[in-house]
Amino acid sequence: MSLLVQLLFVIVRPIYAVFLALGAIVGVAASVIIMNLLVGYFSVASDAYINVHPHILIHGSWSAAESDVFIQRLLRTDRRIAMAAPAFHFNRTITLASVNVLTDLCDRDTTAENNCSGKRDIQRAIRAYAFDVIEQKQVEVEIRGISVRSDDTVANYRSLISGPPDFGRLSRTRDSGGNYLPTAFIAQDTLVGDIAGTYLISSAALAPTYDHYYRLNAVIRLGAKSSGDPLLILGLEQAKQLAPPELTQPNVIEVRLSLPLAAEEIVKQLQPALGPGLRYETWIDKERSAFQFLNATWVMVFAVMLSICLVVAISVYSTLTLSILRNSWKVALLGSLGYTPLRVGMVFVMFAVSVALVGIGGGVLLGHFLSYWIGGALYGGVLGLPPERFAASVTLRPAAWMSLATLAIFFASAIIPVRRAVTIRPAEALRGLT
Amino acid sequence: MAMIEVRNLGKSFKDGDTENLLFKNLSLSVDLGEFVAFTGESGCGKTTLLNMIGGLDDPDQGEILVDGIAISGLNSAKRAHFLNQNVGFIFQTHYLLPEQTALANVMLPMRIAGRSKSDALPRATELLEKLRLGHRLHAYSTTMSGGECQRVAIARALANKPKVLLADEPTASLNVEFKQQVIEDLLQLSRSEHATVVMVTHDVGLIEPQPGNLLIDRRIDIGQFKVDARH
Repeated sequence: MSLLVQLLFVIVRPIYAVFLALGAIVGVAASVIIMNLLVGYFSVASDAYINVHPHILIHGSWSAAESDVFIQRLLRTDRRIAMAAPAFHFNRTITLASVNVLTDLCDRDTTAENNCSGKRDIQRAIRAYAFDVIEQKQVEVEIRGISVRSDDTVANYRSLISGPPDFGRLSRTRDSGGNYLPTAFIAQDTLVGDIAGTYLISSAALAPTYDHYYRLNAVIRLGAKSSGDPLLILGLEQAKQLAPPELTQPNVIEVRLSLPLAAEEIVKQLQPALGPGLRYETWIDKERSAFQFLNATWVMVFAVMLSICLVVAISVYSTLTLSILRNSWKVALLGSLGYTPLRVGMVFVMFAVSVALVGIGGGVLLGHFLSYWIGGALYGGVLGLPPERFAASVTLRPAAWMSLATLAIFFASAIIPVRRAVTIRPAEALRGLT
Repeated sequence: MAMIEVRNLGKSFKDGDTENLLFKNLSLSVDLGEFVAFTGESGCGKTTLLNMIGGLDDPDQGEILVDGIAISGLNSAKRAHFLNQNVGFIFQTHYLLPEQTALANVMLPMRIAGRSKSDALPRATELLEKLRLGHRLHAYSTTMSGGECQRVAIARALANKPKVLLADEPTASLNVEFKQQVIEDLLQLSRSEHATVVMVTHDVGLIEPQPGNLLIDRRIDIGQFKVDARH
């Protein structure tokens, strides 16, 4: 065994090394978990904030032809504008219901007197629906009637929807056989969370015909995030059906940017370019308080991490100092045998670095593994987000940063004790035990 | 030829706000191969002088030459190397590392000098066997008697074949039955290893069992150099 290693456990008791290493493992693991959770949550949250809204909303009123002209002008104004489309945005109260759907094949000529059952002429068959209402509630929602262009939407709902959504369904009311399809809609998860049925019907003042029954097609998972009323997303034409009487044509132009963070700057350019009479709103305006909360979260987490670092630093300092105080005679003896002060210092530095490396190795492995487990449970149980989104956000970067920080802390904490060790006066230290 | 030369040495120590002068203009020499004892009353500075000769302490004035080298002029690295190669220390307490066997303790100075374990083993074994500890090579200090531990300390001090052996009251913490044995071992081994020995003792009876019958070469009364004046 190398002399340095041999002397390491002569001067510092192995049990101290074990406890210090365990502490380092726990500290590093906790830090890795916190960093992964925070980075993951920050990534998922900002993802939600950026993607749930169009990056810019231009409020006005346009007919179909007017909106096409306006949009062409808009796209020429700034190259960072990636997509724009008209939409309806309004709030209203709807009735939401959970139902059991009963279907039957009926003859195309079925009447009130003519019982649907019994007729099985497949050439004349249509599917008939009946809805057995289980549960229903009145709820205030933000309705967005959106345009779908090449199966894409201005706001990046796709990134927030579990599974592959079919945006075309928002405008289809017939299937390939020409049968009626209930109108599809997309809802925020908090809107439909406690209603577990297949069909959600909008009552309002709608004619009770098939094309005014709405079917939940996809769910936007925003988890615990909440800014205003929950979202109900329909096709442009369907939203018109539900819009207030005075809202007869789209009242916003939704704009997607290639650089979402430049929204405010681009609005400043648009205002003079597009003329007066328009009101502009950005996604930053809508989520400003949420971002402030996220930034505050960073500060709190930084405080927690700093506390962990301080505890680790104090542990290393006190362990080494205690070892030196208890074993100053050994250090002095080594000096009398010709062990240079530098080599004495190296013993302690090597101790600190060895324990740090053990802490890093064990802590990173443990922290990385536990991150998936804790993050998955937290996301699913508390934040209401799909656990796989957290898993996708976990990287080795927090582990790398914590490894460097741990090495630095151990090294820095060892400086004063090492200095103390190398300046022990052998004559005094050896005299002390006589 | 002088192996150890002390020239106009002065040393003081602080006692609170007071600075006490231990000795002033102390000069002496020890010849090559001599076995010299420093004697004197308690507090006269015997151990302090020994420590300064061994490079563990520095004088306030004067210089000390060991084998022609002024120790206090050496930097810490050179001094450590010089001590390792040329000076062996035996302290009042054996100061054996309790986590190491007797053999490992004796090998320590040689390992510090850069020799491998296999290289140091024969020399360490030889020394311990000369000191009648061949059956205790792998014992730990906690299982050995005081006399055995001090003999291991002697072996350790001689491991690198030092030119100078410094012993600070090596028998002070031993029982009576071991004291004389240790002195005889020290005498015998130092002569066979051709080391110059300086031993501090206040037990004159160990080195001069009968008046005029000095077991060693010379004794120097350090008390004669003590300065009584206080600054």
